[in-house]
Amino acid sequence: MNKKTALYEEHIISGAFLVNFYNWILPLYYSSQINEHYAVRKDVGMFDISHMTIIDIEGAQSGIYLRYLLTKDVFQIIPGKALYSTILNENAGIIDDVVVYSLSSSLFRIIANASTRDRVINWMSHHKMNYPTVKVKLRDDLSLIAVQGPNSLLKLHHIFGKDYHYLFKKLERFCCMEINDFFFSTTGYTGEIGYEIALPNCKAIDFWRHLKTLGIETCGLGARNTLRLEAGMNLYNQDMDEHTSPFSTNMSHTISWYPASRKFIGRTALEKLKDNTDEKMVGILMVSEGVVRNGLKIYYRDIYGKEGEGIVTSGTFSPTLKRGIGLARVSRYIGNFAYAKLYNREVCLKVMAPNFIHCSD
Amino acid sequence: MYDNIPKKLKYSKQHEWLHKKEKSIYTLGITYHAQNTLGEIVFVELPSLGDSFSAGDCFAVAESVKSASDIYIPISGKIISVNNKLKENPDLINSHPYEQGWIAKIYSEDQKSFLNLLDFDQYRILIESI
Repeated sequence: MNKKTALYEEHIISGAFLVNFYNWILPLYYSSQINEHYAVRKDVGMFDISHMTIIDIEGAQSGIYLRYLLTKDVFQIIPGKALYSTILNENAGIIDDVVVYSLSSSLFRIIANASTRDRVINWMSHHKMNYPTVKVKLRDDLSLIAVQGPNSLLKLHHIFGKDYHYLFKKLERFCCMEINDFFFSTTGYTGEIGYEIALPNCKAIDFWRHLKTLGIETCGLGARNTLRLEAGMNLYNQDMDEHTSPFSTNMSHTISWYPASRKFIGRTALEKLKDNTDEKMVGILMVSEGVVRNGLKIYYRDIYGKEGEGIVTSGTFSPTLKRGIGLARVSRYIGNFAYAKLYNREVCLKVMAPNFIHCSD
Repeated sequence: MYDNIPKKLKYSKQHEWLHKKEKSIYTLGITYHAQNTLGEIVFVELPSLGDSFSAGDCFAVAESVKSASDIYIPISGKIISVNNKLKENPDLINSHPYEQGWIAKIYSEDQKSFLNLLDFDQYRILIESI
């Protein structure tokens, strides 16, 4: 079934090249994937990300419920702040990576991936059993637009007039605010500063057109992928899934271990896996020119001299670095270099932490 | 659309074009249709000078943002020149697939394979059927 966002007709009018992304019809690019990538790195670009799942959790017990559901502890945030977390199954396998926002002491918002929509909704409903007063509401009435790039604040702060300038200026990273029926959060998937903006579907087209008049470049999924990979961010179903734990996917930072008394789904399995996981996720950078692709096998000698094999889970050409970059699952004992067979020769890959570019944040 | 298939060139079924410059010297590249399907080309792996290939061998690779594409040599021959401009500007293949976006020049005495290549009309029929 092909689903369309409220901005579908706008993308058609723009002449965007459309693709099917987990049953959603979305632009892969509007004019040039590479130029759209550069627009976000150097100026500001915007993405229609209305395919993502927005879920509101309401009720006096919503915080307690989320403390059980999520690896991150929502008691760490106050209204107006956000956390990046995972939802695990009982085996510590990752069901999804999400951003959770605190809107009030009894209202939270989660933004989850489009690919996991049904799984997450069913999982959340099932585990709400012990919290009967909590309401879980799917917000399909909202569209989502991501405005990202070093000039995001510059281009956006005046959209509601002078009286609101200060609100934009003082909004820090990983925070959120509501102005009328617009929800702004300073989060993103590109490594640049910017906003993810939720608004009623009926207002999406006018707002999108208004942002275009401000000189904001429309960008598609193609640029979104090269941007997130340059920033070292995982893509669910590619770099992680329910068969992988946070330890083997560079997601340990989504776990709040303290207080030790906080029970959350997957904690028991996670504690067993901690320090017991032989795999980890690294960034790889091609030393010479070329491109790395998903599924590429890589070889190395680890720090003990033992031969090992890993796999590239996400690979692409980095427009900023002008060479291949990727994320790979490898042995935790890997050294500084790996090799792959590409173009009928052996290519050398540098092993590094997945921060390929200096991100604005 | 027919502007994108120069009449004087020969074509392979794998969407390469060949131009006979002089006796035994040919220039080759990929067609407008091929670069359009590939998308923005970000890297080209070129052969080395002096490398020899048989007709149908993969002699170069074009990497676009979304995938890698093997490029096949339509006739047997030896590489005598490669387009070094593609190192800095691989997207020349997208903007000028038949001129500045040429990939390699080869020395070949493979008349048989050359005669089996498609002409303008045959190539046009091929891409219309895709």
